Amino acid sequence: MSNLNRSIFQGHPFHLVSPSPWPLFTCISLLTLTTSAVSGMHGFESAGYWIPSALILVISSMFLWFRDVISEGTYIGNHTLAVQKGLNMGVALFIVSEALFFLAIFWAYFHSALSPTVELGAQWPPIGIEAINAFELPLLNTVLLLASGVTITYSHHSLIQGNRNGALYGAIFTLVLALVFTGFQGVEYSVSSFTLTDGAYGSCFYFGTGFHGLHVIIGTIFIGVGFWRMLAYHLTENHHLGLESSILYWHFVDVVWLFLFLSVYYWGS
Amino acid sequence: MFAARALRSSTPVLRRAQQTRLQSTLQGAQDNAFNRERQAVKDHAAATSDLWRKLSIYVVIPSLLIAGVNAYRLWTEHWEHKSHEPPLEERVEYPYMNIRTKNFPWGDGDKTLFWNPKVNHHKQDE
Repeated sequence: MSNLNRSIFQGHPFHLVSPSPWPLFTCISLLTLTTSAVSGMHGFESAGYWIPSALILVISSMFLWFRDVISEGTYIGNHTLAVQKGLNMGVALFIVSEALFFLAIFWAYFHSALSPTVELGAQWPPIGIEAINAFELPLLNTVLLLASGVTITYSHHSLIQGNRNGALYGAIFTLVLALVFTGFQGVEYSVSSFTLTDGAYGSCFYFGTGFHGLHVIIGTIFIGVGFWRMLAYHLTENHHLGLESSILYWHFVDVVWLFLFLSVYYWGS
Repeated sequence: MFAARALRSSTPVLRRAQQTRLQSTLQGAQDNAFNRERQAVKDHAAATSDLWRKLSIYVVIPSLLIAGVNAYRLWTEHWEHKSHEPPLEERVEYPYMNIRTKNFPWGDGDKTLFWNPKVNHHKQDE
């Protein structure tokens, strides 16, 4: 009898995943998005319908997959300490890959900025380009992002302490600061005297700040999901890996901004 | 043994009372290294979260106000300065500016996504 009972217990701490349709769904959605985007860039007329449809497919696949992961981690209890270790490693590797992505963007920027070609007047910013004053909105945005780093830390430590209100309010203030940052970047873009098409300066400026802005928006959604999961009592004081990952991601986005502020906005003007 | 069986078949009120008592005996973490560390982390968080609460209120809010006032001052100064500049049409359009190899898929095909006619100008429009 003991041997029969023994077979229903798991002798290791790992999560052996059950069959799931979402990896295949995600593959098909991502392939559709890539081919639609490439077709669009090559002037394929229906791309205007294909790209949004593919985006909806990708977002739906992510939504349904993450929903299952939440069930496994929060309700079924598959995310043991050993599994959490593996998930943390995955998040860390993802952030390393993001850091290298931004390294490439900064490389492109310094390549053009450190030795401006004669066509640009051999100067940086190029002749005729009126750079943005770093101490105006960019400085305010720096303060906003650093402030959001403080409030999200308050939220995180409150959660560990078991202070639900502190955790929720900290996250709300972080989200507000994040949205205000994105709003001010929008203002900055719409009053800028140079555009994406103004040579190496325009390309590098919007390449860097644009991808950073995209990451801010994604980070805001990431923290928003963490906020919702606190609200829904998903997160406990010692098991909140999703929120911790969003905080790590947010700090990464913050550091990228500091580099952008120093090299593109301040040094580059 | 007999008492427990009697309780199980008795009224819901009594049943609930018995269950509550049973659950209460399970409360409180065992005293071992793992739980002691977990408790230490929680106790530490109480002190640090108070520090971050104070920083969020007494450092974040004043710095946001100062940076906001500074940005507002520079913003108005900038637009005041701009209003005295010659019109956009007189600005030199260097060859590396407004590069177009094909039409944008939106609008008239010539304007970038954040195009603002008050600050941006393309000579070909004239």
